[in-house]
Order: sequence, then C-alpha cells, then structure tokens
Amino acid sequence: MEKQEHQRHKKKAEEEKTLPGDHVSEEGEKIEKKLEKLDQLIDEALEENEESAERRAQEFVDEFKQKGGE
Amino acid sequence: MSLEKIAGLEQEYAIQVEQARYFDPVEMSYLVVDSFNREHQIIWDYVKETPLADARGFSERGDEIQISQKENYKVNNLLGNGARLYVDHAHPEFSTAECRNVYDLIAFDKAGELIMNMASEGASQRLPAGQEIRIYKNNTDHKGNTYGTHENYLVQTSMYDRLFPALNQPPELILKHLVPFLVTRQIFCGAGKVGSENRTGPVDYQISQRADFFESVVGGQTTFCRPIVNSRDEPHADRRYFRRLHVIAGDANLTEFSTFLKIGTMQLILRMLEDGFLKESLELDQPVQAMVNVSHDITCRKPVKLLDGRQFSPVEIQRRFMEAAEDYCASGMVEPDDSMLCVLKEWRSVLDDLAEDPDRLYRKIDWVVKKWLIERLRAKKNLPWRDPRVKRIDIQYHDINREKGLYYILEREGQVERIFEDDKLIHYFLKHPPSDTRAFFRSRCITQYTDQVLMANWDVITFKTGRSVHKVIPLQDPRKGTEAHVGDLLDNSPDIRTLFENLEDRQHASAMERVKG
Repeated sequence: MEKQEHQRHKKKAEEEKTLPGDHVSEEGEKIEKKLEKLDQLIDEALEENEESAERRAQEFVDEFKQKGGE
Repeated sequence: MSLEKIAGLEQEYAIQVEQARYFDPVEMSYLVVDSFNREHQIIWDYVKETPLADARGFSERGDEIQISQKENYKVNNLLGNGARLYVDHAHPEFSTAECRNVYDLIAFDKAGELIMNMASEGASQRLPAGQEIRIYKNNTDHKGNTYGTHENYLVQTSMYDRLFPALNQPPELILKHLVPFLVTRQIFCGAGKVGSENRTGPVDYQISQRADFFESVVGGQTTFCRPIVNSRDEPHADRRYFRRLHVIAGDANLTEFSTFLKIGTMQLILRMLEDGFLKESLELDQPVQAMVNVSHDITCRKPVKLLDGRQFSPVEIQRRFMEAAEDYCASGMVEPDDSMLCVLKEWRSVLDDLAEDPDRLYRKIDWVVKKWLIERLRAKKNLPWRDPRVKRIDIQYHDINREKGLYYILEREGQVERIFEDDKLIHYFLKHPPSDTRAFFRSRCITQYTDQVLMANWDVITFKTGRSVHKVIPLQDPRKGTEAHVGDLLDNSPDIRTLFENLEDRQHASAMERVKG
C-alpha cells in the first residue's frame, strides 16, 4: 500500500515536472503584453485616452459623409 | 476550353479632410489625382467607353460621355505601371492594371493603396496648414451612401452571351450558379459593418458593407436599383472573342486572404461556367432578400431557401461550389496551376472554420478580424453596439494610412495573417506593370514614348506622329502585349518611328508565316 502511494507521488511529481505550466504562463504573459501594446496603439489611433472620446467619436462619425459612387 | 481569367480591381475610395469646416469631395478628389507623379500630358480615351450598353442587347438612356481635354486631364492620371488613377463621381478611384494571376492582383491592389496614400499626402501639402486628407478603403458612410469595389474578369464572348440572353429569356446560368455564388461568398470576403442601412432591418453587426444596397438581380445600372449581377457590356477588348464581366457585388477588402479568396474563387467559377462544368442548380428563392439575410447572420448557419424548396446554409452552398471546383481541377479539363490549388485548399479550410466557428478566422477574414477588434474594445470599455466609438472603429479600420488605419495597426503588430511574407511585390507594382498581360505594352509606351502618346484606354493607345496625324495601336487581346511578346520589340524601338516600323515588319513576317502555313 505504502509502496503504491509512493509510486503515485513519484508519478505525480514527474507529471508536474513535465507539465508546461511555466512555459504556458510565459507564453501567456507574452500574449498579454502584445495585446496590451495593441490596445494602446488602437487607443492612440482612436484618441480614446481623452475624456471626450465619446463626443469626438460622435463628431467623427457625423462628419464622415460621402456621396454615392459607382 | 476556358480562358485564363485575367482580372482587375477598381476601388472608389472615401475621402475626408481633417480640420476643414467644409470641403468639396469632387475638388479634393481632383487634387489627390493631380498630386501623384504628374509626369506627362496623356489623357484618357473615352471614345470606346460604352457604360450605357447592356449585354442583353439594348442601351440604357443617358448622356454619352462628353469631356473637354482640360477636364479629361484633370480627371485622369495614367500611371507608368499600367494602372489608372482618376476621379469617379465624388471619389478618387484606382483601377489596377490587368493581372493574370491572383497573387499579382492582390499585390497590385495593395500598391494602389500606397499610391493613394502618397497622392493624398501630396494633396494635403497643398491645403491650408493643419488640414489633412484622409482616405478610406470601404464602401459606405453608414448614412445610406455606398460606393463600389468592382472586379473585372476576362470571359469568352460565347459564355458571356449565354450568361446574358435577350430580355425575354431567363438568364439561367446567372440564376442557377452566379447569383447563389455571389450571395453566399460574402461569408469569406465581406468586410463587416456595424448596423444596417437602406431599411433592411436592425442588426448590431453584419458580414458585408454592401449587401444592404442590392435591390435587383440583373441590370446594367450601378447607382440605383443596384443589381447583384451587372450587365454593363463594355468589353475593353475585341468583342468578337472577349468580354469583361463587371462584378459589382463585392466589398472593399483589407486582408490579403479575403481578396485572395474573392478573386481566386471567382476565377474558378467562371472557368467552370465556360467549360460547362457546373451542373447542379442552386437557384435561390429570393436572391435579393437572401443577400441581406446572409449578411445579417454572423453565425453563417441560417438556411437559405432554394427555388426547388431545398434549404442550405451559406457555408453548405459554398461547399457545393468548392467541391465542384475540386472535381473540375481533377477532371483534366483544366491544368490547375499553383495558385488555383492554393485557392482550393484555403477555400476548403475557411469553409471548415466557418462551419465550426467563424471566430476562428479572426486573423484572416475581414469581417471576422473587425468583429474581433470591436468586441475586444467593447468588452474592455463596456461599450454598447450603438456607442459612436464602435462605429468609429468600423470606419477607421478602413483608413489606409499605415499609422492610423486600425487594420494596418493589426497587421503591423502581427495580429493578422498575410498571403505575402513581405512587401516586395507590392512595392514592385508601384512602378512596374504585370509582365504577362497587355498592361506591359501600355506601361512601356507611357514611360518610353511619353511625349508621343496622346491618349490611352485599356484597349488602345493613340500616338502623335505629326501635327494632325495620329496613329493608333489597338490592344484588343488582353493576353498579348506581354514582355515575352513585345519586350524585344520595345527594347529595339528607341522612338515611335522605329516602333511602327518594327511592328510593320513583325506583322509582315507574321502574315508571311500564315501564307506559308
């Protein structure tokens, strides 16, 4: 019984060793950073950092008037 | 045997001026067109333009194009790469040169964006301080005004005549094949739109920019009662053998994958039609309504009703076309090149993803990329769909400025997948034509005999050979005038006198060959 328990612990420890946890979190962090940078760039392009972002967006949309074409 | 599908794209761009209380879009478009490489006085030849001719054997009523030489020059800028930069209605427009393969066309279309960027930067410098022109590659202002992204394909006259029979006969090939294909292809080449227009019913987000604006099935017109299939009969080639299918039911794409599939699948469909390979009728019960319904269903699962009572999802309809194309490429009727095989592979893969979960395509297909971006920002800022910031994201996705356009920010940050590994081919087409179509000859004439070219069109070049003597070289076959065909001849013709002499010698030699044969 004790031997079986020991084997189970040993197996679990080995599994933990091979689990990609560290790698995943490293990858996850990278992706998170990349997306944060992306958000920042998008916000800058949209002038979203300003308090008046909603009003400015409304003006932008209202002013975007085109004539039909083709 | 079907023709190779030489193709081109026309894009009407939206134009805005920042920091201007009022601006005239027509005058601004003139300014943009005039601000890119004006190195010659060549004008556009409108003589053979027939925008009112209908393939079904009649002409729409309207005024013929009458334009002074001065106005002509103001409207048109013929480029050294064989393309046309010009003003259409109230938009600056770029028409690519004729391309023989889909990769060239994607790259040329992108070169058009860069040219439009350079032109608008030049034009902005001519405006009062602080004002800046912005150019958008989209199809709607979200206020009910639409402008086009048109595709052009070289087709056989015999097939074109079958597509467009006289008015008293049903256009069977169109109804059974072309319309169901065009109505459902939006699922991989729609550019996405927040909200709806033209009283088509409320929706937060839809697949296509254009679907709301189609109101008829077949017609020669493009500005009212807009048809899914356009019957404008303007071949720009020898009409005895060639016609141009003018496709107006498409969106302005930013992702290279959407353009790749839009053009590549259409080329396959047209080849199958020419070879009589498409057999199964997928005629839709209500094509115009189906166009809207498909666009308004971002799950891509709602069934579309066929005339015979069957119901298929848009993905299933596309899968039937895709499987027919796979059979066609394996049939021996066509020798599929690498690009056709790649189109087939991507077509299957994209349909699999759309069937499983469209969101999987958040790095490839425009409407899904834009939706991913909007949903990310909506979640982060807790924005309802009706918030103006959401609509602004939609519009600014299409800004072609590489620093401010949201699509280009995503591309630069590696968030979208590309067809090309780099921009080499795109930059090549800024100055060069495709080498394997008649665009090569047009381009070389414009750059090599600049002062002697009076005017040009897609299928003709007129040279000044004396005070009142003009000589014309027709380019009636879009497959000829290639580098392989006329490269040596142009290299050995330093001026137009020798060009005409060499052409005469060649024609004489060719006639002698025929006599001998």
